[in-house]
Amino acid sequence: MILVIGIGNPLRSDDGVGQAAALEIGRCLPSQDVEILAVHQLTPELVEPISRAERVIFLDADVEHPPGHIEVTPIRPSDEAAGAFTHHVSPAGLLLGAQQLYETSPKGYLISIGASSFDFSETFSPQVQAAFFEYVTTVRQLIED
Amino acid sequence: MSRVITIDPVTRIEGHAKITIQLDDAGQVQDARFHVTQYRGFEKFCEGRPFHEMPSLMARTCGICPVSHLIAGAKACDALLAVRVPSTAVHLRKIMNLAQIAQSHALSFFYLSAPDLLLGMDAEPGQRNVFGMMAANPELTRDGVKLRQTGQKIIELLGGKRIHPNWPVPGGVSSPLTAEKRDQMLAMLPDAITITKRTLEWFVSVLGNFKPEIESFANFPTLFMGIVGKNNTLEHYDGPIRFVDRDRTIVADGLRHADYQDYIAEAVEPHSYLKSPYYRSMGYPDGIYRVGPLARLNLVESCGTPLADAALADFRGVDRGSSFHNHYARLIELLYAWEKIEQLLNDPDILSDHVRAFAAPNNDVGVGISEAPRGTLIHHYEIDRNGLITHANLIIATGHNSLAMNRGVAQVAKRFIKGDQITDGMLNRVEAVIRTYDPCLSCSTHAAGHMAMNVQVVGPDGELLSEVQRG
Repeated sequence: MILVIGIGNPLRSDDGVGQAAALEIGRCLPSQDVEILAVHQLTPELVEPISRAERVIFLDADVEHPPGHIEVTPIRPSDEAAGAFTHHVSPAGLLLGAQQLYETSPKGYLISIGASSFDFSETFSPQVQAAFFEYVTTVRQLIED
Repeated sequence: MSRVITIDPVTRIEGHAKITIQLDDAGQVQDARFHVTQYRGFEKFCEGRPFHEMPSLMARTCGICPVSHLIAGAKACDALLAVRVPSTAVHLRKIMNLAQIAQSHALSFFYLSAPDLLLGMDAEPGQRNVFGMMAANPELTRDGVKLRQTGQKIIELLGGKRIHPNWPVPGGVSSPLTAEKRDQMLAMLPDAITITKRTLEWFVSVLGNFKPEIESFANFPTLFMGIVGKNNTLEHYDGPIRFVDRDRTIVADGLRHADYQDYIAEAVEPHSYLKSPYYRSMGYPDGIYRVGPLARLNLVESCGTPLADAALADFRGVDRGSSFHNHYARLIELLYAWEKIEQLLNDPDILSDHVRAFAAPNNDVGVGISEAPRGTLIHHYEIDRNGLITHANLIIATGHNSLAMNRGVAQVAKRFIKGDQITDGMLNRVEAVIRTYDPCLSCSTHAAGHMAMNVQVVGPDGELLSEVQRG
């Protein structure tokens, strides 16, 4: 099973792009081999569905790259954000959790997209809107590889 | 020279707060305070909105316990409509409220407090988190994940989503339960009960390691307040309000929800955005009282479910005045929640499609009170003749505990802090007493990842004398 986790707040413009892309993938690929989760933030209980996956693809907005820029980053298990672990955790932390609690090691990827607007809005900035199709296509290619 | 120690932010709680500790010339703790540093304003900006929007609007107060606000908000609207909610809808709301309490208790116990309980109050801060727990006790960590998941799944099955489901509505719930979903929920409960029993056994086995904390974690006489069910049983949805003292002697009983302002008054302290309610008859601050899991178990004679009652019998042997035992009470309530949900799901009428009563507003004031994970939650709405909100007042569980948390911080600081030798373990205990209450200061404004602790020792002239940073 491939697990796609879209992260963000759909009421805060570009922050919701991860959720929107995940839901779009769910519509494009209604397959039992692909499970879709749309979440506001990553929480520890996601460790369990992640532990059942062969591959996990995290989709999230990114403030470090130019708006619309798409980046695919492999994720390795890590506890680097351990001090902050309460009910919020990083993709790397979740992979570590799957390893430590369930002894599974799914491959992890973060596909991020540069974002510019985090205002109260249910629409994306023009740059993110323009790149959205390419973003979903990138996710599809990784799933179908 | 007097000094001030500041713990800012307080970690592993819901929301944003800081603690200040005032030292005297001899380096002894003179006073300590818990400051809530965020402001929300929900009561004000809902003015002018149609009353039927209130449950959903108020649910946005919180990302951890939105269901609690939905329930209290829907009950306040029921009072505005003056309708009798169909019994199936009452049972369905109860199931959702209990699932909410269960998932929130699991978060509080396993994610926020268990690192201290498993690894010790003095453990290295970098290890005192869920990753440290994973390494030290993977089964306990898996159990926490499973229990929170179970509560969230039940909420999702009932309301369509885990966070902010708009299913409880004025007059009932928006859709009936299907047999398929009921069976899915019932299938999850045996595991949840087994895990909770196992966790309780573990917790009781380590209780002896925390004698100093039990003695000093907000361990003083106060009143306890909450809803009480029929035959003096545990209840989280509806029932009269009761106050008892530390000896569990009833101080006031059978109090009506609509009259809450007759027995609760609200004070405001200049150092915090958190209100400080008190029992009106005893004045301020003598009318200090506590709400939440410990309070609820102190109020009742039994839980009303077999496994929780067996656990309650053992619980009666512990020091009922110590807020440290909120942890113990939380686990008993978890057990109760699964058992009670099972009972309610097996009710022959639970699949009835009569789940909502309809009416136009018949009252201009509506008060809804229910038990949230952290304690009694009060929603009070007033409307004009068009059904628009003219006034709202919310007293959340954490507010009721404001006075007790402040006094608890001072008690722990005096017990553990010695001015010349500030260790991380000492400061962690000052935070940990707050965590026993599982305060929900505002779950919808989560900190952005790096919850550090900054301790500053400041001289009377404001000069920074020393600083400790962690996290």
